[in-house]
Amino acid sequence: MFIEALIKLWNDSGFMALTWQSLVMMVISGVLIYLAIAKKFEPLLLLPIAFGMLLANLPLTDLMSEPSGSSGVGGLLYYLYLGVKKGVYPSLIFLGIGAMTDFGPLLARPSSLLMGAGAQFGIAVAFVVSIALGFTPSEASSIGIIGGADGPTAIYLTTRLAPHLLAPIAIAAYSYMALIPLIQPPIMRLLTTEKERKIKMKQMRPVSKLEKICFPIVVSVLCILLLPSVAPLIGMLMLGNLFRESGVAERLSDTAQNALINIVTIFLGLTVGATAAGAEFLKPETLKIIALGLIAFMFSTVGGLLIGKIMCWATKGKINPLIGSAGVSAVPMAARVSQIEGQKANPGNYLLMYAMGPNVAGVIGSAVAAGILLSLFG
Amino acid sequence: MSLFQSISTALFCISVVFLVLVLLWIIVRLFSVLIRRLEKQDRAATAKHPKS
Repeated sequence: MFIEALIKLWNDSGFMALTWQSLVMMVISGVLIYLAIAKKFEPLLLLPIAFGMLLANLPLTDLMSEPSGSSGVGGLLYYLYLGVKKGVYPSLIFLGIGAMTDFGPLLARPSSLLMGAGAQFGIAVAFVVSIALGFTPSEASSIGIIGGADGPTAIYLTTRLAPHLLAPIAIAAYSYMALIPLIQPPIMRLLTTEKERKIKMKQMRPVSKLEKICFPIVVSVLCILLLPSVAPLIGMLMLGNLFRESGVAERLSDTAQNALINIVTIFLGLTVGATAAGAEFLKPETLKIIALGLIAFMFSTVGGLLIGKIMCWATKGKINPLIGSAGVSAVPMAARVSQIEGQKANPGNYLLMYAMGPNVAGVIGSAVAAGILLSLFG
Repeated sequence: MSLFQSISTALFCISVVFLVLVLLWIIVRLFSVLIRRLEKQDRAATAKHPKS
């Protein structure tokens, strides 16, 4: 009897339900956990994503199952995933990002907005290539938005246009964001001359507190009137920024940029990872999406750099075109890459503050691009 | 969607992004100038009639 019970226990265990797909996904999640811990590649997001992937591929857990049966109770991750599905988490993350972001460099040099717009070029290129590869316009839009280098925006748009592609798109977006220090520098060196990279930029003017307070209000009104579909993203981004700049809501600003964003990041990462179930994830489309994501990232960098070069030429060499590549959102990593490349060419060059302008402009640019795609195909 | 349609959609999308951000540039510039002028006037007024 004891042996029979053991055999039954074994037969009911997850080991008997393991498939080759779940084993492969467990290996992939192991690699991602290694990259997050050992290589520190976006660990705050990669770690929960990888662990969510691991949990979702352990059989018979029902963590993502919908409420069913007499109890009507669903899996834990099913309920947490509702925040992704309904677009709540990306907007809350934008609230935190807004509270963390200083738009001062953008206000001091508003022409940075052009570089933020140019760095959305990859979205357009990836969209066209995706259509050529047989994806539907909604799927192509979600794949293209990877080029915006903005995780929450990519997740927000994908849940609305192509929810079945959420896992590969989110994983591609965050992986490439982590790989920005490897992807961007060769393109930056290829498209700029040594002389351009050595350009030292003039000190920026100081920005008053009143300007910083007015900015989130003006941006919200203008962008939301033009593109109502961006209201959840731009609205939350600017509310977070208003908390920060108003100087009278320090507790709210502190909560948004620390506790709230950390809690939401855990839920978002875990549940996005949990959508990567082996049978769904291990398809040829995933490889195509990962390749298209890289194309989108590269062309966005090219777009930002080209606008940077045009502005360098138009201002007779007053703008270092290296700051253009920071237009691909990914705050502040892309700006840091501009700083590092600038210092390699000229050790006395400090581009970080100048690159923060296009960097935060890129956040607005990618949200605007998402709003347009949502209006067209939503 | 044909290739031509996809290219025209992509061009439309990037053009609208540029349009919105250029509009934003103009508005930011305008309100910056306005605010700086107001602050300058305020400072001048305070210098003329300092609070006792």
